[in-house]
Amino acid sequence: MKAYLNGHNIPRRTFLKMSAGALASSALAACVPTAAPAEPAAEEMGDDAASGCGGEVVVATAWENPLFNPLCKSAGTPARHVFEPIFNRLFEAMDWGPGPDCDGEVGLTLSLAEKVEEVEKNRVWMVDLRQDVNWHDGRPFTADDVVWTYYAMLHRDVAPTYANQFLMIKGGKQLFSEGGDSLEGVQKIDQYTVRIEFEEPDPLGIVGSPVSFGRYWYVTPKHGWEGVPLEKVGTHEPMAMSPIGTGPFKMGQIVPRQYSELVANEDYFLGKPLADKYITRFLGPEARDAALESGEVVQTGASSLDAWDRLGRLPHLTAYTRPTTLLFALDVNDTRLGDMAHPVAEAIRYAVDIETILRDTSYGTNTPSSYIFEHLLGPIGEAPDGLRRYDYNTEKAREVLENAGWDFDTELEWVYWRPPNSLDLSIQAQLLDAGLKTKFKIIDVASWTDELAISANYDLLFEAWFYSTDMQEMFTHVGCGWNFNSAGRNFDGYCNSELDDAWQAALAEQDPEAQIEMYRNLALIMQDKWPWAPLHRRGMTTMVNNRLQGVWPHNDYQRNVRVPFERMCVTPA
Amino acid sequence: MQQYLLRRLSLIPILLLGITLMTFFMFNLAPGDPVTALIKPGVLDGFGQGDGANLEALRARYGLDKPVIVRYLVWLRELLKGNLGYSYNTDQPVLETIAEAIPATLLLQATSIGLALIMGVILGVITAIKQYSRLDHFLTFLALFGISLPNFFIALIAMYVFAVKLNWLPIAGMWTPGRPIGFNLDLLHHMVLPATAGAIIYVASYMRYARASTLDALSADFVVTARAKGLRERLVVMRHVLRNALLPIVTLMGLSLPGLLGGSFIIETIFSWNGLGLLGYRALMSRDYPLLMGVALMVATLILLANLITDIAYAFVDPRVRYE
Amino acid sequence: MQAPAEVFGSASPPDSPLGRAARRFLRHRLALVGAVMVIFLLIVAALAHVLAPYDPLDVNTGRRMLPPDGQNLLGTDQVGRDVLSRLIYGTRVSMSVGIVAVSIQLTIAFILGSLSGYLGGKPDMVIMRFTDVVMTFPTFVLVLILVSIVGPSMYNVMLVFGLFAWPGPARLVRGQVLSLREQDFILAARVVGVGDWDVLRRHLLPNVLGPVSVAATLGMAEAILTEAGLSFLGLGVRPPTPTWGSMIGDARFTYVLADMPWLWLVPGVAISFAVICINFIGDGLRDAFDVRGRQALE
Repeated sequence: MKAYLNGHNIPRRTFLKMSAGALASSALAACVPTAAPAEPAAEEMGDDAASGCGGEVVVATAWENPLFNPLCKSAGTPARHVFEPIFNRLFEAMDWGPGPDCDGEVGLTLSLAEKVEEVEKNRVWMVDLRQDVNWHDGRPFTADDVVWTYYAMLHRDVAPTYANQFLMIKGGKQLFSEGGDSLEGVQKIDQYTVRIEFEEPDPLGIVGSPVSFGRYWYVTPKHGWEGVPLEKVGTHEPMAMSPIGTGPFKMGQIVPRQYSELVANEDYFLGKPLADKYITRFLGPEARDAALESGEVVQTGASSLDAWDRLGRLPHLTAYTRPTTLLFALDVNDTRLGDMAHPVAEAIRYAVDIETILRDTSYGTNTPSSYIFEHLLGPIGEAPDGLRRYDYNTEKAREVLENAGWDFDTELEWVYWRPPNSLDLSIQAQLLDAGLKTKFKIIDVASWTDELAISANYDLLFEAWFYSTDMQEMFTHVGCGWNFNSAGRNFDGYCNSELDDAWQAALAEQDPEAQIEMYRNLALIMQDKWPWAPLHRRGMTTMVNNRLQGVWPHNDYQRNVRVPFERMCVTPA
Repeated sequence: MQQYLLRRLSLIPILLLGITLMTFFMFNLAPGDPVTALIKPGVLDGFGQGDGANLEALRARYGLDKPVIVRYLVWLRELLKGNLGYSYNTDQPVLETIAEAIPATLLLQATSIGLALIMGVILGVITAIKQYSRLDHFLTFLALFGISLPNFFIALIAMYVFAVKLNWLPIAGMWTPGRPIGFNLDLLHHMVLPATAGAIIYVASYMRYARASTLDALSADFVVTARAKGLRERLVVMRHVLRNALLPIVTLMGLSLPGLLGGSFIIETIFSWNGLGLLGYRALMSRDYPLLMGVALMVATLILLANLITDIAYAFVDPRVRYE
Repeated sequence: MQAPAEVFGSASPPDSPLGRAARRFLRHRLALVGAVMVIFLLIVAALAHVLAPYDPLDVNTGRRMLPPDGQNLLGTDQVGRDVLSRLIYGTRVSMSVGIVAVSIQLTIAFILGSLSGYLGGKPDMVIMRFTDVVMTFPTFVLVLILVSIVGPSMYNVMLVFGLFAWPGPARLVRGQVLSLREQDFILAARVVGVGDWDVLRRHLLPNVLGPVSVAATLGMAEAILTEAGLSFLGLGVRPPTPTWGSMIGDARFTYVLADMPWLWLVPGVAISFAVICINFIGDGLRDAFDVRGRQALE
């Protein structure tokens, strides 16, 4: 069996330590990241070019959103496939990790920003922009574009998708709820300098949410929407279908429900891309697997872990994985089940033999995890004394339910927006062994927000929680009133003032040692109160044709570097 | 004939009205709030704001705050003006989006029907002429096998064998990415798999009808006469049997359109064929009700037209129908 | 629509049309085989809990994707469930979906078709136009849309398919009733004062049984295939309930097609076998009742 590059061989804890910086120190240390962007190693590029590497990079992704617009309505992986090579951000947010700490190893990577200076600790930043960057249409990139981007990203009339990551910018909430002419927190100082000011000190604020959200915004050209009313910004053509960016590839064309074709930007500020074209095909899961196997596409996600493993064994393909912070837990709906919620959650933790299931089904891509702060570094990442171990014990699970007076005829509604996979089915079967009946309810993907996030129409929800490394943001998963509408993730309206108080106190604590203890203590409070059953952390998986160069292993996700599309290329067959 | 045509045509407006009523009230059953289809799900993707005021404004914008009957009438009035509403997902006019998809669907379905017809008739006539031979039994069994498997399974097996293993045909899509798009050879190359996969079921049923009607024709008086005149068997079959056997079969084409269009939801989805089926499936999965309504309406209208043409064609072929 | 001339005034010895049909059906060898096989499937469905060696939901992650061996006669699936047991239970679900859907469909078809044909005039007009409208929508599309609205489950699939696949049979019933209505024996019955309902029940319905039973076999085969299609699109019977359709739908990926034939061959053969057998019965019934092709297609 082919050895996978990442994940398989590296012990989880080691990896987590390697990848993340110290949260506590990051919050406290003075932070002035001024590192130059990571330049590709010259000799590697030379090698690629010499071997005739170039051509068309054809990747496949799920069905695309029919409309592309960098400012809104273009969420999701497919849109990212289309936009990532077209746009740049000021600096690259972490793929995961603690955000802008000052550790050179995992710090912020600058992109369109040349220098970021912290004027007031964790609150005000002065950003110097690169002066050698042009938009794809030849116009120069300036501070006006940055000011416009933040403004549009937050304005209510634009109906932006990712506003919540920057609501804490001064004036952001107001712009989002009421609208307005400008965003107070983002000011143009001169043609190439921007001042960014937050409402409150927020060490991670400048990159947006450190996990995932930080990736989902791009600096967009102000002139792309010249004279367009704000409410039309989202659908304004040509920006909606052929956006103008600064990145290594320019938009060629989008053939709806077929593919997007990007062509190399000869004038890219980090050098001319190796490939001539970057094509993203939009295919269903069966066709994606098939097209990868036949060589029609050179990179795609797998339809399932089994497919990932099997296809990865083919001689011309390689399957890669890397760990993430995504902590998957079964959330038991507190509002629906009331007093029963916590016993049910506890029974689930006893009933599920997650170690065995993952060993048998996940090919080393997923790892069991039950301590919410395990992905954080330092003492905070060590489980505190008194944290219960929930070793697999069906009798114990049954006992917990019996003691709570559980009605064993009840069928819990377990909601999904995709067909259940082998992990889900295995868990379901083990829950049944413990007397806990569940039935799957499959909703369509578009109802996720309505059915789950807003209405909390579920008994059980298997979702990623507490994946952030920002304690403030993690609070929005448990805190009273942090429902979907207030940009939180406490969907079922759980409210526990004891936990809230303890969390707030920990956030406010100034003494680092004491703060760490207080954080660790949160897990102890939660294990007795919070109705959820954390099970595992999920790894990201991808499959690559061996002809594709420049993504893996060059792309070092652990180091928080943007995918270097300009270095992707395909060797001749 | 004229009277028959008039009678037949006069039904069209009533049926169209029925189609709009049925479409509208079917979609009115849909629970949930389609406005949220604006916001994309997924933990990795982040999530937007369900700001109360924003939602209300959107509802008003889409006319979702009025009573059902009013909404139907408003919808109907707009429909008559050629406005099928705007896609929840893209804000694009539904009519425009659908109009883009129709040629692809018609091309694929016409090819499917054509393939099925040619194959079906050839096999049907062969089996009829060789009635009760080993070949007849074999082909009849094969035909049965063809209609007994779900179309997605046939499609996937075909994709695996001809595209993945043999590498003769492209996996999916309509054109090789990065090459010219439009009606070209590349398109036809991409159409082989979906068209064949969609046709298989109809090959079988056409074959059965072709076999039955050829058998009927073979025993008809004029054929007996022709044989008695001493015409060669081959000539009898070509000149007398086929003509009379095949005319009714041609009219069956219209009748298979509903099945084909229904099946296109699966075939087009598997092969990423950008037609009504794929559009409908995508709308279905993203709760894009205006778009889905548009697709349903368009599919029904296409079938209505096909039925009309079939009936008229049948009336031409078989004069008895006119006086029914 | 042709009138069965043999119904009345035939010189043959006393013999009911049904008896004659039954005799003809029994002479049709393939139909007989089909009937025996379908009865076999029904028995398997009824005795699933006795016949299945394992619980079809029993997950065993230690024994995943294994080819057939002594322990699992038809191998195991992606979560280590016994394929044979799932196949047996799948028979129960798939046959139930078919039977219930067809029953609903035929009930509606009988009521609307006979009312339309018997009453004639305005009611006929209205019912037939309604039928025409429903017929302009492909059944699969209607089922897809409605199942996605009401939520996928076994009962919803049965119900929705039953509720929307009736127009074909309804038109058959109406056609038969129309042609019988003016026959002498019906007129005679009415003259002697037999009520409308009794006329319908005693004289008309038995005569439409033939074409309708042919339609029923087609409907049943279609229901089984439709359920498979719905499962493929994720709108069928809810997992983990086994159905033939969902089993074959789980085997849709290239790695399964290439490496694990037992996962798709087995349910594929089951579906194919059932549909072919049901079609044989249909052929037999068609011959037995002398139903013409075009009628049955509609």
